Amino acid sequence: MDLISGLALGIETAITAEALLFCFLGVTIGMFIGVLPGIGPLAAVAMILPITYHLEPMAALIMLAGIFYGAQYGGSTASILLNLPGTSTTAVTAIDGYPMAKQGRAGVALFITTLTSFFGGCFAIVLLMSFAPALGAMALKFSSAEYFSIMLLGLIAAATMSLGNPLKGVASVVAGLMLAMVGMDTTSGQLRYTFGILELQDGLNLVAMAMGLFGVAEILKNAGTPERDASQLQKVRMRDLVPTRKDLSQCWKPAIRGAGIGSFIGTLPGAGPTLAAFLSYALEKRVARDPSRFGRGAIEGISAPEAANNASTQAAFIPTLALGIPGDAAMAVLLGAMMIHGIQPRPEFFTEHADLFWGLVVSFWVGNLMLLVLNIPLIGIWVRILTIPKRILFPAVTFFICVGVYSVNNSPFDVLMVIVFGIVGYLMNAFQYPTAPLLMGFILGPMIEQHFRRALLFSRGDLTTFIDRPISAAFLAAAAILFVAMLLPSLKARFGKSAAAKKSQESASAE
Amino acid sequence: MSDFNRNELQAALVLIGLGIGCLIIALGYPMGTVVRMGAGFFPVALSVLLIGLGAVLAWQSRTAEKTEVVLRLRPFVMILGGILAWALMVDRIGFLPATAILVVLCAMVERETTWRSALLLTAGLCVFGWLVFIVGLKIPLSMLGG
Repeated sequence: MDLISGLALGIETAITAEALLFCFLGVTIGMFIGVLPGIGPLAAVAMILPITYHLEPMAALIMLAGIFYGAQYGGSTASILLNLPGTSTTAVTAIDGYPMAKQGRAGVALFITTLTSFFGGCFAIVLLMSFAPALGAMALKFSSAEYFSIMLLGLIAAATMSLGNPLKGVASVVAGLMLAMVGMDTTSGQLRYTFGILELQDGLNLVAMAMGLFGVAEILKNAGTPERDASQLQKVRMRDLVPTRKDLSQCWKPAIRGAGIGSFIGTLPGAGPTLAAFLSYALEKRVARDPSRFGRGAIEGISAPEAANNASTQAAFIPTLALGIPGDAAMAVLLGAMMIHGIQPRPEFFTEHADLFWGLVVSFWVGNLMLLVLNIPLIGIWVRILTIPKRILFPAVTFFICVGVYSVNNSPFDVLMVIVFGIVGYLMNAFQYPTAPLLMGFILGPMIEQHFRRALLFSRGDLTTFIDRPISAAFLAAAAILFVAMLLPSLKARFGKSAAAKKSQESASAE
Repeated sequence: MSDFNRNELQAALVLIGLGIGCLIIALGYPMGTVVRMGAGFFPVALSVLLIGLGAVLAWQSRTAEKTEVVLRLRPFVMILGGILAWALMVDRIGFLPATAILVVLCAMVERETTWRSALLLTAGLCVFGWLVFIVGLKIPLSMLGG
């Protein structure tokens, strides 16, 4: 199906009163959640998931996706106004956004981030429209060997590209794969790690796990700490939003670079918007004529990462829809949602569910446009949300987590699992083990095992099948390069401490 | 050894312990052959990986930077206790009382909470939850009693 007829089909499916309503609901909830510090899009998607069971798959998907990219818009608000990132992906925005707010330019910063977010999102949607079906067509030739290799690449990307010690990321992925073993083995029917508990036979519940790791763990960390100081919150009026001509001319080039980086990172399975934002900020700092402006309210420092994280969020749909391999942890939850609705993302998705794909694409345009329109005039309301105190927010969120998880299977057992994963998530955060790779491992676990076993069945036990097939070999090579590249810094630190010290001195003098 | 990092080592040891535990259980599953892999193959491989990673991380912990892990008991007891109570009681004593217990416990974690605000919040969430989840989404839970 070509682009034009695809778009026509998409407009037909996505421009209906129902679809528009759910798109609006999705982006508004996403925006709301994004503004609230501490609750990320992942927990939000998981919380709303049960509500979507009763919807048509199309409406459900549009709404869930809307939450996901809407949160990227909202996240920057808290970063700029309070120096508290609403979501981890907008942490970078605080570096230059908060100084801008202190200089009384909060309105301009919010306007620019909204604009560049919109630009980044649109940039990646164009890529999604043009490349995802092509990738899907290519993937039709994939056999189990290719699927295993690309999933391995995704897992290694997820493990090593999180910030911090890459080995901890790998440990987290392996633990996630291990958790995926719980339940009945689909090939042989053997029960694994169920300890005689009936509820474990179907495996652990994804929603319970996500809510524990990303919702309850976050609440446990922040509950009972002093209320954040909202008194210094500035009033943002409409006329404060207008950027100067200089602001605009300074921000469009970084926005293009950010959108490019974000789209690339987002397309990689396993690497998400946080990394995209950090990388594009680093790039801007490097190419800037005067790097010392960064950290003091440089407009490039907010426009590039905001374009990047939104582009990455949209581009993450490319591997998710074309290959069924989630671009990052939040996509993994979305993938889980699609499966619950009986849609198996795979290469045939673009032909079998052409209406869904193009409808989704068109809803992205509509949603991004809604966010642009919602964000700017209603900025005062979003700022007010920041003043909701924790003593109201946390009990409410905990309540929604309980009911939400319960309603997936009407099972109190799943709610108990939330407690377990809340503790696990809290401890992992405390000991600086990343939690997102754990979820990636859990989601990909059953698929990667199945494809590994099937590939070896086809090749009659010959392990070289993974490197004899060129596409599979390329994925494995990429995975190996990634792994070595990410381990290099820590190896360097071990064997060449003097070189590292010199480097840090250089970067310190550059600050 | 002044910068010896006890936390890092403990975490790594937990990984090794988990790996060993999973390995022992996995050895009880059929391994199969390379062509027809049994249910035990993947768990065994993953357990071994986990033990190996734990060992490397334990080794690294000698030079890792010192980290501080603070455990605050109050949120743990009250929030997790609230969820536990909700999960255990919701289909015995009903949606309303279970939610009330959960919300009040969670609200009391914050020191600024007054009884008045906690009860108002409880009432609000009960009504909202009833409308959305029980009336709207028809979750099979009764308001009062099992």
